[in-house]
Amino acid sequence: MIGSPLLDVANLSVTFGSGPAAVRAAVGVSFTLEAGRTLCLVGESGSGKSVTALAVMGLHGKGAHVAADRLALAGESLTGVSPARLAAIRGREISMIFQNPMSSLNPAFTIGYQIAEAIRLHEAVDKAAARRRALDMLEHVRIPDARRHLDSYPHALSGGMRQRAMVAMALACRPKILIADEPTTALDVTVQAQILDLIETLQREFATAVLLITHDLGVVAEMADEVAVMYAGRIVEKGPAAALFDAPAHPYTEGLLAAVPDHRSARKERLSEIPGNVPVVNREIPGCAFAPRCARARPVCAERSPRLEAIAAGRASACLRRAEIEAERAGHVLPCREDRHA
Amino acid sequence: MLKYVGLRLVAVIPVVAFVVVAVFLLLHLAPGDPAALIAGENASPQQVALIRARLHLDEPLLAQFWMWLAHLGTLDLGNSIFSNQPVARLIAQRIEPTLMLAIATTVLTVLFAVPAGVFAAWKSGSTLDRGVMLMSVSGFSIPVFVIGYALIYVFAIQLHWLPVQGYKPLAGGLWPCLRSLLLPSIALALLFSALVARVARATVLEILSEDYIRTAQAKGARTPRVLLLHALKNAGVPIVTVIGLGFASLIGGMVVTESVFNIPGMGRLTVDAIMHRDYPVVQGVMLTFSVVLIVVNLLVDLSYSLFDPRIRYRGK
Repeated sequence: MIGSPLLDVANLSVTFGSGPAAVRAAVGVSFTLEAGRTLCLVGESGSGKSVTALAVMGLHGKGAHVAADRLALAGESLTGVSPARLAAIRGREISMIFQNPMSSLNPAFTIGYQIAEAIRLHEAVDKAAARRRALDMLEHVRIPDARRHLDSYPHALSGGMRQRAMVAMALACRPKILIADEPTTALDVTVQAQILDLIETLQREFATAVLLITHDLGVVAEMADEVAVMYAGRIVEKGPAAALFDAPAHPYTEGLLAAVPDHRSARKERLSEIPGNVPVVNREIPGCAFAPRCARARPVCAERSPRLEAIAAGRASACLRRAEIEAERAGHVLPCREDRHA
Repeated sequence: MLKYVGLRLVAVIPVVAFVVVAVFLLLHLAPGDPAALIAGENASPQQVALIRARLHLDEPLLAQFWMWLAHLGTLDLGNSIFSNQPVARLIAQRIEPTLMLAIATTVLTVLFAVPAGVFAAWKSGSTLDRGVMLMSVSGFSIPVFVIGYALIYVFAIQLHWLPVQGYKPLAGGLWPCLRSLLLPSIALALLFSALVARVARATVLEILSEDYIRTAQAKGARTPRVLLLHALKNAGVPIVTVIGLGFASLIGGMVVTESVFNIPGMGRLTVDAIMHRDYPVVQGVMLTFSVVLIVVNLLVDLSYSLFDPRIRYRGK
């Protein structure tokens, strides 16, 4: 890696409201995204994933206050940038698709118009050329009968087709980064895989980096190069996907992985779950925010705040008891480990 | 699309039929002998009999209705009892100032209230938003004649910018006509804007929280484009609806405005006709207003398909 990363976020925080009742939706979030790679932000609802992504786009609402030590796209700072420059970046450098394709397309305009608009907002092309490119994009996202659907209104398309149209619109200007906020959550299971497959294919074709936000570890396993696990507004663990799946370094990640149903298991087991809910961070939480739900918590966890610390190449975890837990686990699985390293 | 237009047109027929019957029955639904009612308290029996014969009130109701309908077919609405002139001609003479006033008012309202509402929604909670809403409440609460006289006092009497009262017909040129209509249409537009701005604000405010607005921003659309294209096109249906509905209440305000500004329009004709118990004129005026309202509502209905493509498809 030479020079600055494509997307560089350091110590990002997003706060709603002010004063003692302020809600800290994201605190000290740092990550980088390299060209062509896929970073997954993982966590339960309310963990701050979407808020982080919207803050990168500058799409956080009026009520949100965003602060960051660094929020830069290819070296250019996105904090304090003029609205005009921000609008020029959105859609051209960074695009975004959303969770609900049913409501994300404007019902009053045709699909073709909305894709062509994305092109014409950033490039000096005439209407006919923009329309041709819109058609080309619709074919790229494999919408059947694309020529006809160019003049269709969103209500005439299914959810999966609408999400394809959203992808077509987002990638129409070949952005460097695509932010996908739970892009398959609202879709049928069979369609989910198709959309993920589509994103992956186009990512390779256009060399786009993807910031994928999801709560679905199955999606992460399929898509991610890097993973950042978020809890209560903070990143609690991050690292390369394979390493993280192999040996989670935070009890929360462990819990999430244990909650994934194993379809290969013949027995009908009760699914493992993490008890409780993600807390709303509207006050200073003493100690670790996950401690009340953590199976491995000790009294110390409620007193001292863990910091995200590097543990191995590209890996980091924020757990006070990580070393102990690792030793504990090593005790259990040591033979297996040795087999593999042998 | 054509089918949608056709269906809307067909739906107008029963409404028109109902209006025609209701206006005809107006005279007969009033308690007592219509002829005596029209003739007044001090009329002699001979005068009452004369009126009864002239209005064919001595014939069976159905025969009267057919006669009335036949005359209506040739745009013959009978003669005024008071001035003895054909009602159709009276209306024709008076309709231009009223229509011009209504059009000027609506144009002013749309030009002012829609942007004001959109702006207030965008800056919701700001001083500007509160200012627009305060104006809206004032427009509702201050009677139109108070606004009218205040406007006359400031712009006509003190500043001499505009004529105090009266109407210059369109035949004398567009500019003099518009000049004579400016103050009355402002007075009326303040009332009308109060309603339209409020609805525009509420609708746009709701739309601004829609996902597709965020999509528009995410693809790089600037605020004016987001507001005036992506949001406003979706707000079209409610806004046009309230303009259409408001048109009906505008007619009431027009009667007052025409009196304040001494405009010889339909409003004054209506008031005079009611004062003189000039039933044929009252019937003619009611019929005219009803037809205008039906046409306005038809246009509103048809305009829906421009804003919302789903309506077009539903008609299929």
